[in-house]
Amino acid sequence: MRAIVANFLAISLAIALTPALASDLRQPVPGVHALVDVRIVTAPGQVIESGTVVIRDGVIEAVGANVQPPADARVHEFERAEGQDPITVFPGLIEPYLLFEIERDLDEETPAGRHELINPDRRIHARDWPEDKVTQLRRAGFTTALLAADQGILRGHGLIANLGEGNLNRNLIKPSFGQFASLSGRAQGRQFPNSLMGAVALFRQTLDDARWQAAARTAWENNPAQPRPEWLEGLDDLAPALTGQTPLVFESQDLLDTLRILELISDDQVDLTLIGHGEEYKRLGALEARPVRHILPLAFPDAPDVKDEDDRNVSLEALRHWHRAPDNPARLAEAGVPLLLTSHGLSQPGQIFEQLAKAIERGLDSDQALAALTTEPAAWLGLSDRAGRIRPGFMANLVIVEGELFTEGPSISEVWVDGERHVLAALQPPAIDPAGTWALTLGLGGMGDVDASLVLRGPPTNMEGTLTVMGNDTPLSEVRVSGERVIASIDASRFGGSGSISIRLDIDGDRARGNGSGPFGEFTVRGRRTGGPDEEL
Amino acid sequence: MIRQMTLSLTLLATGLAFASDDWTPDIEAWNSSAPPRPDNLIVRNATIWTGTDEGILENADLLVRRGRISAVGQDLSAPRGAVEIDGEGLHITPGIIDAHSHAAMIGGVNEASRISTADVRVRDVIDAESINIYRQLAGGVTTINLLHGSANAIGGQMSVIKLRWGASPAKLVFDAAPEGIKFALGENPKQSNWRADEPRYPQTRHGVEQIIREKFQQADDYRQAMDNMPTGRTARDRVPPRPNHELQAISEILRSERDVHSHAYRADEKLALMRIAEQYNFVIKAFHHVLEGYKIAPQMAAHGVGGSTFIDWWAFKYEAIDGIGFNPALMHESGVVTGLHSDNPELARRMNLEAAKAVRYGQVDPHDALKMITAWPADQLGIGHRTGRLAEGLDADFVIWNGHPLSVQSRVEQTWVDGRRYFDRQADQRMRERLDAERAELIALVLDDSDNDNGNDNGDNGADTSEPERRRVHSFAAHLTGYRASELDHDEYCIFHDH
Repeated sequence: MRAIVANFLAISLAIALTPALASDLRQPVPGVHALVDVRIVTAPGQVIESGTVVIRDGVIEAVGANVQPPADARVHEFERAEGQDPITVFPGLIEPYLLFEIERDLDEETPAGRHELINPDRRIHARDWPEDKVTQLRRAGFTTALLAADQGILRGHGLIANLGEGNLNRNLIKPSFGQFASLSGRAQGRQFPNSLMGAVALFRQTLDDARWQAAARTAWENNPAQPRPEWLEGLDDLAPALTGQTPLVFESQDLLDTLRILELISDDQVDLTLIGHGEEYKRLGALEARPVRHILPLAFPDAPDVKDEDDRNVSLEALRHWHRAPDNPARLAEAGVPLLLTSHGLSQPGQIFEQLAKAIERGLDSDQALAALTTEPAAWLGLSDRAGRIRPGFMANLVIVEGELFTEGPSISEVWVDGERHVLAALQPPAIDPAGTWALTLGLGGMGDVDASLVLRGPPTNMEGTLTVMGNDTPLSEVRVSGERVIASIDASRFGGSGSISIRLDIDGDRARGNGSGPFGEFTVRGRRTGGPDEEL
Repeated sequence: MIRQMTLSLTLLATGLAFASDDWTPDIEAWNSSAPPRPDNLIVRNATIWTGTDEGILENADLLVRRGRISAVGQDLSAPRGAVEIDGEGLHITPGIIDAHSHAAMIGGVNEASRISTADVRVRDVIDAESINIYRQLAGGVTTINLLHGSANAIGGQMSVIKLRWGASPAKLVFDAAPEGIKFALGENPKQSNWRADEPRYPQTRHGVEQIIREKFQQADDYRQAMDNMPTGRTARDRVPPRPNHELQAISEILRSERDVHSHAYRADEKLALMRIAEQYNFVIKAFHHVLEGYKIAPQMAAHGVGGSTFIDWWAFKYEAIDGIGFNPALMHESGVVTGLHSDNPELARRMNLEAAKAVRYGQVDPHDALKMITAWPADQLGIGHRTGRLAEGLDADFVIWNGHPLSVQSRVEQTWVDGRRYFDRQADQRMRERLDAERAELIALVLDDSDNDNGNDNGDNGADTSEPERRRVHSFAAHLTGYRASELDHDEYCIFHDH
């Protein structure tokens, strides 16, 4: 196994160097893989309990219970100890709304005569590739996304890409999909529009301008003996969305914004898709009457702080929403609203699983949830023949999970994009039992040392634990034992950062040594076991 | 207590299922169902302030059929099965009409950018979830005119709504109301009290007058171009004029298809605007605030413009220095259709006291004083044929008071809109008890939930809680409770300045 990992590293290195060497040396990179003896969820509700997936040059070649690995394939076996969850292969998840900021000067981009918030002709270029977001999504199991830029009222064309290593050139699937809009755009200071109603007026005028331009230009083409109409640059790019050739993807800010957008876009020709806000359940009747496709975020609110009886400054409105928000996806599904799910609105895409678990507990069908992250977005994006399922001829986009995917904290070990393997955690069967209480010292470099206490509970195949730093008990969001190593992660927001803090500890008897990293930087960890699992209780 | 008991609805035993006694509103609009509408309803033996020439009727009955008033008078006979309210000792008035409000708008009250924002519509930003709607029902208000702010000589299009608590924005809109638009004169449009960072034309009162003329001329040209566009077969392959929502709205004014409601304090600028209107052959529908109306009341009456004013708010800025409490009385005596407005969501809950002050300042007849918050603002808004009075055929928008409506000791017991009892003091009491119970239940759930979570009660659920950057929040309202943050994100109220 260790040899395989080393081998993999060498291959990865070779891939990374390929462009530089391409003109000099051809690097033979094996592109044929077989994942054997794995549980395969080929599509929502379709499971092969034990089978093989064969990948050739980025495309799935064969899937099935009785598929033999081809002779030229690298065979990937996953050792499992007794009692460990099976390794399951899922189709790569599709993020239908990867919103990101394009670092460009809107003033410079806007042609004369057009408002700077109106950019229907904007396109995402290779230089805009949001690598950090792509990496985060991939680590959460997403392999394909619809990318959109987030500034302005009309925001331009989206783009569909896989979420592999490298740049847009390697990952592009469709250079143009959808037209993106939001009424949240405002001009600075005293410029128009500086109110919501001004933004609506600007949007409405722009749509009419675009319709006028189409009619006026046609009339002039047919009949040149009249004054030529002025040309409004960029508005021709609205035509596909206004005629239903591509969706108009409208980000709704809140309950009333949804009603507003439904009124504003009453033209049947327009293929309207709404980015939801999480309060759809409040006036569901409007959506039952007009079941517009929704891309639904799962950012359920935190529990309001009610600990202090004498100082409960919490509104009934907030309490109610906290209680009912996780019902929202199931309620929308019941109402017959076509649903896609998104990690948009979460501080980390990986948090989608914890939220999904809540939504499923409140009645969202788990197969429907998986469909809303795989087959449904694939169909919407026009990728039903190549994404969203594990099927021959489809892109080799896979998520490999230890156990189930839809749990609060799934153990995603590998994500494959276009047949390229991304190892998140090279898992080996546990070779040690680290349960007990550990006294640790975190070495923060120039900031000195901090004492911490780590408690690990449960069998090595299914552990949980708590880290105590400076009197602050923090549950580990994830802890796994791989060989002689403990890999744990903690939500960094508990320490005021974003993302997560990860800790790796190599265990030698009762001694531990390792390191960690997080948003605040790297640190070292050392310590020893001070109590067994029983004493901890 | 006895009064409360006499007030409770009597359900006649005819098998008519009128579940009104159980109907309870909710503190959140989306969660509040419309109260039932009885087919027939009669209020008996009340003191009825009709708002019409009939005056105040003692021991009178009000008969309502399917949401409309079918009769007002003595000893009326009601159909079998009618819901009956014993009005002994109670006063009934028309629902209060507030001709100048910003109480249920979201995302900014003012598009405070261009000198003309006629393309902007309040209709797009009606805040159906605003608690102001429910609170104003509790003060007897049934219809309000949501106006754009006053930073622009020609402001946005207004929206008249009925306070149907719980309804969606579209269902709040009072469809009988004619189209209207906000104008503003004086310090606000000419930027007297603005930071000097981004000066905008105009900076003077005569500049404001001039820009309005200029916009009228542009709009007239635009409309002519639109009208000259051939239709039918000859229109084929002709380049149409480019649509312009701003000029379209302004051109509707010139054709008397859109009423002008103009914010104005000083007499001179009001005279100037009336002269422009007369030149373009239309009538200004109403001046708002109109603190110097008493100086030019005969001229206003001759033009036919209404006056919608504060009774005792003045001197909050220089152009408001010449206000007097007798202004409504003097305008009224000169024949101006006079109303009292709130321009403020808190004042709107006690408009009856504003009317009472008109009796105090100028000895306005009490019934006429009441008309200043009912019949006459309805006329100013062009909805007098539907609401604002208690007469046959009008919408059943009325208020049941437990005493004389102009008394500080009286309060609203019930407020009916379209023949539905949207506010009822007893239902409100039921709601409070229910909400207290629900709140306790939810708090217990939160505590239970955090107990199950390893004592980790303030965990991050992953929601990105970073608040969107808010441009500016007015401090005057920040201390008020019950306002959502988004409601405070407005710009230029007509009377306030913080810059």
